[in-house]
Amino acid sequence: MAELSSFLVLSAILFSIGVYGIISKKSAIRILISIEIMLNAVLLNFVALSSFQVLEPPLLLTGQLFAMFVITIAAAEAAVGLALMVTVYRAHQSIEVSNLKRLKG
Amino acid sequence: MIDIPFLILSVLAIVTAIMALESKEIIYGAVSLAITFLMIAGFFIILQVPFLAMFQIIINVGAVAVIILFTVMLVGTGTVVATARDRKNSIFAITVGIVFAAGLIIILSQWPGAIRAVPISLSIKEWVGGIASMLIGPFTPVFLTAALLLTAALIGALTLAKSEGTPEEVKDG
Repeated sequence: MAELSSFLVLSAILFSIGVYGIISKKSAIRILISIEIMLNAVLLNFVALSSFQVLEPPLLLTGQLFAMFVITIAAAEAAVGLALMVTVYRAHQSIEVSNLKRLKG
Repeated sequence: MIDIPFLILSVLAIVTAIMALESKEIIYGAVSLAITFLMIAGFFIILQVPFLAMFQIIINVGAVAVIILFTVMLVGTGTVVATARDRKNSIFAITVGIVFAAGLIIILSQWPGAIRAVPISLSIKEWVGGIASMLIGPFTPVFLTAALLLTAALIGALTLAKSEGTPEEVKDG
């Protein structure tokens, strides 16, 4: 059986891959994909820590409940983000974030 | 000690996560992201939480990844030419990523709390009962806020994506 530390290390690596993507990518879809990867790393972290806690249910299930809320919010965020991208594409014919300078002060 | 299913799933998860960001065509990236989500569901099964794995497959693999695929189809994929500045930026990003990962691993490897040797295995009755008593108990406001947020996101996304047609038509409407 895998130990807690291996799950934590894996989620740290996945989160860092997401950080790399957010910094280096220009396409808005890639940035959204990076955010999804980071959210899933957090999800794995929550569930792993909750499963290995020395507590009894229902207190033990707090982490898993939070994971459920994270999934819900990730879905809402993806829906709104992608709708925004479709709108931006209609206006600019591009979704590269470096092209969107109209809001620059 | 690391077991074989965990090792296979983690290698696949990391490789598909990198592919999701680095593949030439965004559409392959979106498919890779769906596989990453599936691997996370596999970890939930290893952690003895099959209900959450089901949740993950339905919502993330079934809805989020498919929405991303549809958006890629709608907006099209232009090939991005990498300039020297982009390469510099990507070296910077890799450095930040590695430093970030090292920091997180150092912090998380000194986890202070008491932990079990193996993940706890609950029956489905205990699990659902526990989750239900938390949702209709201390977490009711969060639950209701999440429901409101989903409704608001649905209406917001519809409003954003609705304004179709020529600019004149939109102005008239």
